[in-house]
Amino acid sequence: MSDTFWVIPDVSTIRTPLIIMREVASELTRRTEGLLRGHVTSNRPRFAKSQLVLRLSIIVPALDNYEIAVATYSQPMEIYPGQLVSEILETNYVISSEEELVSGLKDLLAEPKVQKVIASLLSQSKTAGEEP
Amino acid sequence: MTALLFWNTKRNPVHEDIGSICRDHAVDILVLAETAISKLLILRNLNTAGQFGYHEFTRQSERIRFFSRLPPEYVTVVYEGAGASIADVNPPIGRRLLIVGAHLRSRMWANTLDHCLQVETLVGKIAEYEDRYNHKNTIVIGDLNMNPFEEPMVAANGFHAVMSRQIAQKLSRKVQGRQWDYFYNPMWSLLGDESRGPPGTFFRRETGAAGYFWHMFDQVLIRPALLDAFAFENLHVLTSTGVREAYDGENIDPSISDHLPLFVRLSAGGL
Repeated sequence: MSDTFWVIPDVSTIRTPLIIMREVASELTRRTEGLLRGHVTSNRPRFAKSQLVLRLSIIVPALDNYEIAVATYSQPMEIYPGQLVSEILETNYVISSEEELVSGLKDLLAEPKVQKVIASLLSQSKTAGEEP
Repeated sequence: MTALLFWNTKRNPVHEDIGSICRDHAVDILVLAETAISKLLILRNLNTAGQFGYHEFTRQSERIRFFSRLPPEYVTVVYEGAGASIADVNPPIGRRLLIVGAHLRSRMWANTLDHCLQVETLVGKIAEYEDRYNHKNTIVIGDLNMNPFEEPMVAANGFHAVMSRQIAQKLSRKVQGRQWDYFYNPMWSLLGDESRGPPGTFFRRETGAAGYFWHMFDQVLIRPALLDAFAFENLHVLTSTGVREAYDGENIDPSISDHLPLFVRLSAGGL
């Protein structure tokens, strides 16, 4: 008889939604050289303590740290399926896996409306120092 | 003195009505929801008499749009998201304010838990900006898509918006080991037939077993720090736009909107 009771699964390859959203945020900061700062917060709402709510937003340092919410993932205890809400597009997606979250975020960030917001913030950020 | 107007315009072409209300009531900050009218057309109507010089200071949001006749350097949108936008109003004279323009999710797409989560997020953001600017001179105004008595409106971790000025003046209360700030919600006093004005701000014919018919979805919530500047007689659900009647004593004119405009003025003495 085995002397262990627990079978501990290997989780070394699992990327949680928090890790994924932090990667997305870091990439924005890196690729815009800090003009736009990706920002992720997480909290467990008192109204639904079994959920972890992850929020991705963009902060614009040159515009007095103006912040705009981009996407929210409501993560259940089992991680998936959860709900991805686009604040800019005002749409919801049900996300069933890590792959779906990655592709969902990619699709969402490539949407013309989101691109328009990013272009607007980036151009304002670049010219902020030049304005009288 | 700061005068605020909120209106969900149902994507109708009501630019003349907006201009008329703002001029007649000397509105300082205009907050619009569900507005598809171009910036140019709104400004043309707001500034038509040459009396005021309004400008739009919305950043990216299409859900909430802000206009003001205060000089642009005194009004800044600092946050957009979670169904609301937060503006920092820092006039040369008087108190610095946070104006939260809100248009929360529609009842057609959101249940009570969705609203709870959305409100909790928003209230967290409000607290963050109150800490950043080191004051609690905050007003929430908008289409909250809830009545004043609903759970996310009154819960400690929701808006915590109470019907009594006396209770709100206690500033906060402790629930489950944590202190929660109050909002005062004067809209309670405008509910139903015996109130001043129409029974609510939004009417929906009900077909189910239970229904309110009139709803007070459009609300203004005031932090206790601003109560010295607020008098109930300066709060109005408007039934006329100055161009035409929006409410005939029974129905809201759908060609104007399905919501009535909400106007509030904070007094000069208090500010």
